[in-house]
Amino acid sequence: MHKTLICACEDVTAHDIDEAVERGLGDVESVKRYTGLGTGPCQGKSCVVGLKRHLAKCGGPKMEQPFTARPPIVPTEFAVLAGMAAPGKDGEPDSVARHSRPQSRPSTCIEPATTPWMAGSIPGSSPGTAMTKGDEHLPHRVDILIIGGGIMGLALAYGLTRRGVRDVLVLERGYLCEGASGRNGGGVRMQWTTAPFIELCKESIGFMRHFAQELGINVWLRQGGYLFTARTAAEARAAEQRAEFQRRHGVRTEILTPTEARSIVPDLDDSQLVAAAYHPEDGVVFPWPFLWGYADGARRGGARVETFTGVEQIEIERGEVRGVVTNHGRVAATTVVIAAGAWSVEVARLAGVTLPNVPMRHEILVTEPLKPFLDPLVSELSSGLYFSQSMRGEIVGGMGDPAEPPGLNQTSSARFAARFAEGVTRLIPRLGGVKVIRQWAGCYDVTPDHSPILGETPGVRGLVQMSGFVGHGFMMAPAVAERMADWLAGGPIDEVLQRYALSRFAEGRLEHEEMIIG
Amino acid sequence: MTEALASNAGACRLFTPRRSGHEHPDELASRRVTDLQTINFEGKSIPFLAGDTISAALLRAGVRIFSRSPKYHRPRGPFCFAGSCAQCYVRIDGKPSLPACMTLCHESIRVERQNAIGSAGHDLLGIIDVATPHGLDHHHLMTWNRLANTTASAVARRLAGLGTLPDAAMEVAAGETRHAEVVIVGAGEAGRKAARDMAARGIDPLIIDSNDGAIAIGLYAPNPLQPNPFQTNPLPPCGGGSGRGDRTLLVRRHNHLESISFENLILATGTTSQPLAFEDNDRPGIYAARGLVDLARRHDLRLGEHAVLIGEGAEGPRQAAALREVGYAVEEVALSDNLRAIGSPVHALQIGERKVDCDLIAIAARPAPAYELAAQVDAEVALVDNESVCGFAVVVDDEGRTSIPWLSAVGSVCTKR
Repeated sequence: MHKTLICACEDVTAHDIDEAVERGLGDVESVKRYTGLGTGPCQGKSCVVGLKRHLAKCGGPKMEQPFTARPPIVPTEFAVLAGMAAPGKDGEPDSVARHSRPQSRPSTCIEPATTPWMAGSIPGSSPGTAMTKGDEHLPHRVDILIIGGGIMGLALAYGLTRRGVRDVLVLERGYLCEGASGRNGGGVRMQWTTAPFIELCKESIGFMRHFAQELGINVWLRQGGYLFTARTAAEARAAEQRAEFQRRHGVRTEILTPTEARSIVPDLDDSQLVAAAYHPEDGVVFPWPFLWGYADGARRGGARVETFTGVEQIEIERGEVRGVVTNHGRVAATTVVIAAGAWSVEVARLAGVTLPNVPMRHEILVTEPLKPFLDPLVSELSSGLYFSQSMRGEIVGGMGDPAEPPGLNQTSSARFAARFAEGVTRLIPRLGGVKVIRQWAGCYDVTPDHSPILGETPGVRGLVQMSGFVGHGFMMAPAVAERMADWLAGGPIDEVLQRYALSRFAEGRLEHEEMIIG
Repeated sequence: MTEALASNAGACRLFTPRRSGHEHPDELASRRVTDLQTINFEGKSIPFLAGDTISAALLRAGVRIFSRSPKYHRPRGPFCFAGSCAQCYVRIDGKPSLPACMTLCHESIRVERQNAIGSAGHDLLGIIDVATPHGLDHHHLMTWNRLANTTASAVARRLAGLGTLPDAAMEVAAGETRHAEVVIVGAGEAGRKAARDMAARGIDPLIIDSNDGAIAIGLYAPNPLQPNPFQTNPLPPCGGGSGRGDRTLLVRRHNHLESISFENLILATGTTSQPLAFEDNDRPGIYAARGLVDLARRHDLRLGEHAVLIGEGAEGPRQAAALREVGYAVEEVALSDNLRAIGSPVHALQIGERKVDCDLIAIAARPAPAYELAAQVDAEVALVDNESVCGFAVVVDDEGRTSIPWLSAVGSVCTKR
């Protein structure tokens, strides 16, 4: 049939762009994510200009900047990247001291008085190009104001509207999907070492199964399992103990032999492992539609979601929250929720509150799309490597780096591309000829015990914490948001919110979670 | 004008590896007689001439459809002939999705088309395109109940992807590190001039150009201006390839990488061909005019006699003249809202009520600056929309300096502040 193609790589038509604009996607990064334009092998070289020209023609958002250019500039095989000569690529770089995970907030922090945390102030983040907003668009007062339009904030807003609390405002400093909610690999699992995490993820994955029916948008949950490899006998014993714990909590994790693992992961080099832990009900999702679905759901319920609106001050009087000042004006609110992910420390600081969280960059990449061949997400806990195959057929994977310094940084490194390529081809040599088309980075929001910070803030009435998810917030957001919404809507406080209260650090009752990838 | 054209050649070279330089017509004629080698195209032997890319050999043999598109399974053929689009991707020697226009033929190289049930010429899944005249909104597809939704997911997964896994593992070639005081990316006219200027100042720059088989694949740098309140010891962020925060240009030569550290980098990447938006603008038989000219000059290959050229700005008449010079009869048409390509491969262009028969459609859109490397390190880029180019260009001052202290740009990739 007759179609006008703007992005030939991903079959995005002029009509698709018109629809995205009609849905109110007011910036180029969002149009890119919603339509898929520019996410194929040419990475925008043949469509960025076409998009600009079409938007000008159809009266869409004015495109003054291209969407973020990410390496590599041409698709490049894992085998080529794996050979990269980079001092320190293997193990510890000679000039970079090994960083353990920060156990407490660094004592020598520079204390910026107020950080205007506007889009684009972080290395590697893209400002996007919002349509110009006046200051009149914000309400003067709301019941509940949520800082951060990631999955936590949006799921909470949706949950509140479902409970009849409609006077809710979500403020997002950039576009939806700009932070970690839009940058993660979409893994969802029930394999954990703490009971609340198992429960929260079970419940959340259950919700994801019918997300499309409830919120009207596909999130492409595919339960192909998670397979954790163990490289040594000691790791295998630890995996066995974790599996036993999980089975006691109703998660049927199996311990597999290398041969059994190979039957699930084709072409896996079984000499690379002595055992594997496998849970078939874990899986992967496509993260972006969760945000659009929750945002639309919340809006339908009466809440407001404002993008490109950054908070510059939080007003506190006599130990109580009074409101916030944004780049688009002041909004009064007696309840302010901090759901800003890796930016939560900076936001809390605006209220004079010190959180123990530390942001850590985590890098990730995606390959050319391949026909389906890989069902589970494969992960190696010892190296922090993970990868899965997305619904579009791409390999999506990331890897932690022991040499990574803490900090808000969303730039990509060649070092990561090389380390990941080496790791993935070590596990599945046949992937050597598969080409990487794009790499990017997001920030984990790391707490000292790898558990989140939820609920009340000691000493500041009305300031609510909802952060510190250490890279796995996405997979438990639906369940966390339900509990938070119950409480903020006037219900009793859930045990989970009490367990993960900020006060636990002062009280010395930490909640250590071990199964952190990366 | 001439500078823009010259810089175009620079872009061509940047993205066109493994080709020799311009050849004298006599050389083309002589190799015709001596070379009778063949490639294996889906089980059939297809002859090629020395120096042919896979695109050239297939087109010479009359093949116009190279693959099927990912979602609608629309037939696709090569467009840019310069490695910047992805429309000519084929499976080569058991490796998926490689650009036919960038790969040289050799005896018995195996070439297969991708993403079709049956053949790429007659793909059963072409029905998806026919059945979705207004497109297929995958976000809201079959969300009404769990069963429908599960079915949609299962079907979508089966249809996803272009190629299949490589047949075998690919050997890892050890890369190397290099250092250069000055690196110039692109050796078109602007790049060569920059090199001469450097030489005059006693500097011997490292020139990265795909004519020498070197492709710049990425530019990495830590952001030097960002204070990091979370950093507790004086380490630079791990932005660079060395792990020490150095700025690094990654360059591919064949199958190995060079990690190049440098003091200063000069971008001379020129511009890239762009498609134009009109109905069925992705059909096989629609080619970038520059690519067609290149195909005729380098490979002595014309894809018919009558070309309809859809042009704009200065690029239209310029490419029309170039096409005539290499032997095409050209009818020039202005871009308008009532164009539609007819046939697959195309055999006509519909212009409102008028139908113009042709052997192919040539696109002479204003090219776009190849700004991507600069944008990877957050150099300032700005929209340029004039007679010669349309796209995002690297912003420079009178001295050619970008917003990044160690990065300059010359030629048509940049625009003056």
